[in-house]
Amino acid sequence: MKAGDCAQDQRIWQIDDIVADVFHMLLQQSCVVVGDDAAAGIDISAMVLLSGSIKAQCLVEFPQATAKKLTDAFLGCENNWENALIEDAVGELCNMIAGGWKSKLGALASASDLSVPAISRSRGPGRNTLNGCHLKMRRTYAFDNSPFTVTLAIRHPIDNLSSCR
Amino acid sequence: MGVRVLIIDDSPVMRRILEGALRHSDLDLSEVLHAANGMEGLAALENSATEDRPIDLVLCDVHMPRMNGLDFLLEKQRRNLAPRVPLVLITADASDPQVLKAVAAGAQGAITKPFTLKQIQKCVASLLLPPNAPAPSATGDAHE
Repeated sequence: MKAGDCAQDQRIWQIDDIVADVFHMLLQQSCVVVGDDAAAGIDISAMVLLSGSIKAQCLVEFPQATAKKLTDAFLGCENNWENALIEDAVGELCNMIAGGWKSKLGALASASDLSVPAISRSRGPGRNTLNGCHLKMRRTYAFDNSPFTVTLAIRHPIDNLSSCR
Repeated sequence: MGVRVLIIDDSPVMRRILEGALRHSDLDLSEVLHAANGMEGLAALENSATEDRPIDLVLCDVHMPRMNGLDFLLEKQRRNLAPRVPLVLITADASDPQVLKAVAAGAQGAITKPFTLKQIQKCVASLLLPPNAPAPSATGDAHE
């Protein structure tokens, strides 16, 4: 990526269409941006790491009610799902968003690998956090009036990139 | 006799999504088998051979604990298990080197998540050939 290539620079942060694609393609639902602040009452998070030519992180954070609704949508019916299944649904969403983001990053991430999603329910020291990242952007989305937050962060390289948020 | 499909994925949610796509298709589906990793997938193929109830198609995740999708494919080939049965990889990372290696090693293609139900249905229908037809090509026809 060339320094100062603002259009391309900004493109790597544009994940709205990635998130929208997941909901539209898999669930035939719309998912819209509702702000840049984190959703209130985060209970479950999933994080996927990109490592290799780029070191980056994709974090999704869900209130329990939204995570339950996501599971309902993925599985096509409402139910009292086990927590393990709800966490799996959040992890799968994170995995798909991270995969779509990696694709957006193009050559910058071509020699990098995605980790499996790390799930956390803790609000304490064990929760998923973005470690050592210099550039990040955060967006809160909502589907069916249910909010969740996606944060993307890059730790390396950062020389020719600029932060969006 | 209907089609039997083996879904190998460590995510129970993704297994159910894939099964739902199959059940909502026009396929004459008799059974969908689930496995949570490559080891379980190999066991399912061996059981199907022992019971003489062949599996017609395998949908397989790439990154799984115990045995991943590429190692499953290579071990399946080493044991000569279901050599004519098409295998399609399901991945969130279209540029994953493991996907490229698996397609080079004989996987019939890869489908990138997120996918539409129609993409899954179209891919599956194209790979389920009549019993006496030549084995499907490994040129990545199903690659999305």
